[in-house]
Amino acid sequence: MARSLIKHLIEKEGIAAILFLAFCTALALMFPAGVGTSNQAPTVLHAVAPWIFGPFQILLLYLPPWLGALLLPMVIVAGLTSLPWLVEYMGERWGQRIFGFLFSSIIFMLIWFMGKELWWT
Amino acid sequence: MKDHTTFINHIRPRSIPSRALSVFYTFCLGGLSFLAFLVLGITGLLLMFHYQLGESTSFGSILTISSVIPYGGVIRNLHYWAGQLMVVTVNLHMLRVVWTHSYKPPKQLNWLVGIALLMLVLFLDFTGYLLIGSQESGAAATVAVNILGLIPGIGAGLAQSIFGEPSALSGSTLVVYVWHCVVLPMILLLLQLYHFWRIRRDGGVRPL
Repeated sequence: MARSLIKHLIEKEGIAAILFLAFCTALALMFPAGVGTSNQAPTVLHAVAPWIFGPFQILLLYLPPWLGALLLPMVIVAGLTSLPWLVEYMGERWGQRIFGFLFSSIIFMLIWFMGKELWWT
Repeated sequence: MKDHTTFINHIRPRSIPSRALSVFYTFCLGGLSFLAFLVLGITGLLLMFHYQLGESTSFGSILTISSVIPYGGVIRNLHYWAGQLMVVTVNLHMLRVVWTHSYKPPKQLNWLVGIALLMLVLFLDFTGYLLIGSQESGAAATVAVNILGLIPGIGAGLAQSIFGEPSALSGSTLVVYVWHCVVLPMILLLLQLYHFWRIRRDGGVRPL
């Protein structure tokens, strides 16, 4: 019984892996990876960060560097890291709320960045 | 019961709980992240054959790979998209872990390892971006060096050891190359293996 179940799981995970690889290959065939601007070309006046680091760019744009680039990211990382202990000492509801607030802040800044740099301009 | 902690039993357990076999519990997100890591490793190795490190050569070699080397463009695109998808799957995996309360005791240590893996993936993504050697990567390297320089006492030394001395026109330095191609993937691989082992050690996945 257990043997067939394991095989079944491997089949399902194998299908997920094939779909993932197919999706990745389709993206690679349809959307070329960007190369940016050559350093022999005239200097660009406004460099846009990759989307992954968009929240950083938003923080740096509106806050002083020590706050936006050091303190706030460290607070977010410390908050995520300490989740198991937050839940233990403050209760599950509060722990999950703090996590939700931190994670949604990142998503909010990402959407802000994309709206500012990628969609509206 | 003693052999539950052995490596052999870990890679080929005699039995595992049926509740741990639900694909809709994990959505395979951890496994897919590891798959993306393997794709990145293979495509990255292929890219290394033609990538030429240097302030004036990095960008040109990226263009050569993308447009001259047979299948180079596809390999580079695969490397890029696997990296982007890995960031997405790792984040979704973290959300799934929180959703199913899988960070609770005895899994706190594995939660910490997971956060370290997330940070490493982001750092790998950033160093990969710097290796393009474009003006944008030079700007990104300059910003990163300046940010690290804000840390009192150790900031300048830390920036030097992580980024070398990037110019404003290209972020690709030998230090960044070694971090991206050797050190970070090795640390990431070892931590991932430890992460997988801890899952079994801590009792596997549990449904809600």
